[in-house]
Amino acid sequence: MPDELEGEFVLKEKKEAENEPSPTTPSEASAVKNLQKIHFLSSLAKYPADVIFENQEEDEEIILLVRRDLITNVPWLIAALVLIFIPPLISIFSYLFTPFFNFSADTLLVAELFYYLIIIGYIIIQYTLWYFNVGLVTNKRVVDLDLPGILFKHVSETKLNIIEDVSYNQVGSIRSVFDYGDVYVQTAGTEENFMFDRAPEPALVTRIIADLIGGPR
Amino acid sequence: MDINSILAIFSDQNGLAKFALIVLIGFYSLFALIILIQIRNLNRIVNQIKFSPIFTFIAFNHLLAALALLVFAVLFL
Repeated sequence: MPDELEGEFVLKEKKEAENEPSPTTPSEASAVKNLQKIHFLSSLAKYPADVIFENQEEDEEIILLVRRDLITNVPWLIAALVLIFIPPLISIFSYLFTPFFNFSADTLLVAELFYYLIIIGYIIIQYTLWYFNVGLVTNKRVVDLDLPGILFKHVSETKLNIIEDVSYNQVGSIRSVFDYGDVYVQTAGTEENFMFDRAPEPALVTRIIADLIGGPR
Repeated sequence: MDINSILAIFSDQNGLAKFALIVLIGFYSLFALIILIQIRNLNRIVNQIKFSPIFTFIAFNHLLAALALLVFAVLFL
């Protein structure tokens, strides 16, 4: 009896598979899958639309795009906000400096404009560091772009078939509350290991990569 | 150059501030250029087709603002 049931399930699965339209080209394959529209603040996207990367092969499609969780941007946003309000505060207490400093109005204006330009630069740099610290999982490989500083970048990639293990850790109350953590991708032998730093929904990311490496090699 | 003229230069706070501002804005403009080049290079590695041009445009405007401020400081201060 159990054998018959199992047989029925297998037949049903086969029938369902037969009914599904079989894409012949990567673009058709992408059309069949639900492409996720992403914007400039997307930190996790499954089958992201309108994303390409260097050396992408024709039949290669991006399955997962991972950036640091959005909440990790809060410290530098607060810092920028505090910095924005410093010049008005200084102007309120300017009478304290008057006997010591004596600058013309033009000089002060240029200095203030320069100060705000530096803050804009700071915001652009911090956003760049977040935006380009990205991990991509495709149907063929894992690509990791690390950007510790604006003048330093590190790009590494590995084929899916040499990935041995994928795991994640989520330590601390903030990471638990906002559901983000570090995802580790361990590769075979002397190959470099990967880490998706502070990735959102690490359990989901780990499961997706595990499903990919668990498939036929 | 005698000591009095050196003292005159250093006692002119406003003049020193103008000179320092122009030098600093000049260096900052170079830095803004480096940011723009770096963003363009990084966009080649990972390209989010709809947003990448906007991002480059923002970085370009940042450079333009720095250059405009430098020109203003040199001409009008």
